[in-house]
Amino acid sequence: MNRRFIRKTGILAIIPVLVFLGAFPAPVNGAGILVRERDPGGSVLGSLDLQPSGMVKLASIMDLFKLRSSMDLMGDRLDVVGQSGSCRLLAGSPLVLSRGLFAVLSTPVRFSGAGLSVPLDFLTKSLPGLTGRFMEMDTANSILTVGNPGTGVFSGEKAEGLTKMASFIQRDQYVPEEVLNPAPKGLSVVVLDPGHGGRSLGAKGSSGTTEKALVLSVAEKLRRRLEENLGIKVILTRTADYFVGLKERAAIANNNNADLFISIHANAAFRREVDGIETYYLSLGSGDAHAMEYARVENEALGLKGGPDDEALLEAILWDMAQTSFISQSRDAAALIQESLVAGLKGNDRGVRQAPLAVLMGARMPAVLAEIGFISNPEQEIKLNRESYQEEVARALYSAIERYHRGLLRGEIQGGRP
Amino acid sequence: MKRYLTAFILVALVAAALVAAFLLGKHIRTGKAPGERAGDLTVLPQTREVDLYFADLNGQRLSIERREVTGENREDLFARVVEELLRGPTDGSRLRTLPETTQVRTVYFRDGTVWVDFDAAIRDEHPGGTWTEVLSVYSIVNTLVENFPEVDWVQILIEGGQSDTLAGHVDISGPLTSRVQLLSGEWE
Repeated sequence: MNRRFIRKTGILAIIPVLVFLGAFPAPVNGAGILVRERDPGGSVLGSLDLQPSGMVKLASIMDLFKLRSSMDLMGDRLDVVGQSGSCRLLAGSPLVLSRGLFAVLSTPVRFSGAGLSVPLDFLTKSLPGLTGRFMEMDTANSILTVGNPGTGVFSGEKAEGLTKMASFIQRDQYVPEEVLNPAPKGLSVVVLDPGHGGRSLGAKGSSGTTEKALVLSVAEKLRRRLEENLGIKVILTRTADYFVGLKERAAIANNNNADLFISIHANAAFRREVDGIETYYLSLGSGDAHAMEYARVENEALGLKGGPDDEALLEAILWDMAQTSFISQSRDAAALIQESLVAGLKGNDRGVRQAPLAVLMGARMPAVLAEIGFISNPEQEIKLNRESYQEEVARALYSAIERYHRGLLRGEIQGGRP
Repeated sequence: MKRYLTAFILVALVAAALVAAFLLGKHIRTGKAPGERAGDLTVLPQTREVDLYFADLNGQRLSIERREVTGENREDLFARVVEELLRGPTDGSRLRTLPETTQVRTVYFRDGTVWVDFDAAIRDEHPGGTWTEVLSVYSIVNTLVENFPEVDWVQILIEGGQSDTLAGHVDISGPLTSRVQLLSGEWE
């Protein structure tokens, strides 16, 4: 179902949004890349806008090489189409997908308000496949030489920098390069995720308390504290009692460029005496199942056809792995939250834990899940039901987030987003 | 008259479909689907001593109880083993990991992967809780993978279909393999 969801958003919901990109021609100025033909005359085709960060505005590439593009509704995938082929860019990812192959760019593609920018090696790794023309980059002199039509190799491993998707699932080979370290900056957007909702009741206490109602109440109290005291923008994944899918929750955080994602849950066990507080971050290796499945499909097919199934599966893997670049930041956030909840609520410390949690997998920022107490424990249930205790929970969570925020500002904690 | 005939045909068709579904269900359950290779069946019946992965009293870690289980063939044996998990631990030193009312619908084995299909009770009657769910999932996975060398992966199904989670936390959308570290309460 998830995969269908991904494919639906990927294909059905594609709307041609980025036509406007082509409307802004690249300014011809000093900080540019000269583009010229390979033929003896070496006639100049134009220039590309090179940013101080070393990234190239995609708009200028599209304009010069007459590429078209469309972005999907979720705003995190862009399909670029040229005369000879197409490719898909993924927000915040260095991967460019094309016909069952992918290229790993030197830095992630940046989707920002100012439009998209790609690293220089996009020109040599992806542009040949789109234009059908060989590209040679002279970085020292900022000159891009364009080969004759029909020279853009895009077949299998021969093409420069292209790797079969299957190699990608061997995690060791995938090292996202975290570059562009900005000045320390605190939290600006926090997404709070009250667990469950609607038909998903979550845990139920013996006197009828539902997890979904309890965690919404805590999330609202926490939101108020964050907004009033830190002036942070806070978004809740649900604001009433309705169902929200697990992937959708992470997508809400991604689409709002959240700096921190906190899923709030209440705990339960098969024995009513069990009691305490736990905070989670994602376990590495989550998503192995998809990778394994993919490897199997790949083995059976003896090579990729590059069909829609391959792409859907790769997207599922990418989704599963989105959180893996933020594991250490997530662990830091989880430790702060656990410490603060245990101290603030004088609760039994069941520790910071890792688990393959579906709600965290797709989050492209530090993401944790807090289990604030056992609703299956009758004494705890009574406590958790009290407004005043819920305020205590919200205060403890607030103080952890505040410490995280200050830590970011002082540069003691590494921020999540490049 | 014609209306009666149509009604009769409809009733007959529904009845035939029900009987077929019942028989097919039984066949899948026992692994005796028509045309199944005889090589998939092991010596009948089979009795094995297996390690059942339950939880400790604090719901922190998995804890093993040994039990003898008999099955008519490999898939039946897998089903019986999972049913023993559903029955719960025999003494007071361990906790069950799955709702008591859960039923195993079918078990299917192929190429190192076991598909275990549960009825909706595994989801609807689950108490919830993240770690409780981790232990639920891995009590099934560890029990099958650790006891049977031919099993590498376990795919949990609910009412015949893939499901994102059991109780809203742990990803079970794909096949899973065992986590023996859970015996010490750690993920890794």
